[in-house]
Amino acid sequence: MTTATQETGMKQQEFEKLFAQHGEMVYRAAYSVTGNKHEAQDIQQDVFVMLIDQGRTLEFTKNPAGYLFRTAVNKALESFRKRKRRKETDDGLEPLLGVPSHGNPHQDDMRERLRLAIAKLEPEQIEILLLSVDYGYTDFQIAKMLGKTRNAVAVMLHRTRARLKELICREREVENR
Amino acid sequence: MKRDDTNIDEILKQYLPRASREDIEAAGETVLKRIREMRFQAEAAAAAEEKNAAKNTPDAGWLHDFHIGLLMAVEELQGYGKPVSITLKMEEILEEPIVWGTAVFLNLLLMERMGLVSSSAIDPDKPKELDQRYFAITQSGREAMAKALALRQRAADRIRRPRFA
Repeated sequence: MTTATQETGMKQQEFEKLFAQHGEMVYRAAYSVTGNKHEAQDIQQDVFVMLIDQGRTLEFTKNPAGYLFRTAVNKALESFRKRKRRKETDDGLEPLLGVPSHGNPHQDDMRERLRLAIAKLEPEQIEILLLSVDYGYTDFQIAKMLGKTRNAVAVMLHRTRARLKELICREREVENR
Repeated sequence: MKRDDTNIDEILKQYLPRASREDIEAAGETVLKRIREMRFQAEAAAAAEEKNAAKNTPDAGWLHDFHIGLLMAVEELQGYGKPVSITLKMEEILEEPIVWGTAVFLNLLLMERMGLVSSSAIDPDKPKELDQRYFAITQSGREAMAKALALRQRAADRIRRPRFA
């Protein structure tokens, strides 16, 4: 009997090491984008299963953290957008964001508006934003992780904030109309 | 003109979903367990199965020349041996002009039951006609044959060795 891992070469020990090193980061990224812990769990699982099935090893890239973070953000975005589309065509079956209400309608609105705005950003913008805001990384650390220059990160971060602000304001205007 | 009072950093600080330590740890445990079951339990089971198979290699001590010749004939016909063609092939291998066909047939059925050979109907519409079946050697059959041949080789070597050397 041949299993996926025998064919591809990813050993359990290697996988466990990768998961211990980067599992948390993958989950946090997925949670920040989707705002839903079950969805974040599924994304964390998908990311690592994909890694195993593709036969990646610890040496698969010079920068496993960057690769996994990017994959998690992309998958989370995809999942969030899919859920949003489903909600739009199947209204009422599932709350839009799958996130429990915090009791304050104003805060819930703002939370929802922020997530909708984030979902409209480019994956690369989301990566930089999360690394800066959620992880508190400096421009230099982000640049190192994503293989960019410090200046490029600073410029992108500035533009991302501006874009996010614009999207949130637009959402607010649409709601007020 | 309305003043834009949106403080994006404040919004991000206050409203960006952040996973709690508790959630991160619970998710890590759940996902790790799921992946182990999905991708690595099969591997462990396959290794155990292989180990068991090695342990359960059939005893080859009971195989006589007739049985070895039969297994060799089945193997040589590469899955396309019918009882009649297997009998003819056996005569060739054992260099004996007459091999009793009924004995071949009965031994084939016995060996199939022991898992040393397998068979399939030549005509799917006639699955019950036992003489109209193709026989093929199984992995277990190959191992038993190899083991029996090795036993014979060792015995022959012992006989050739000078006794008082």
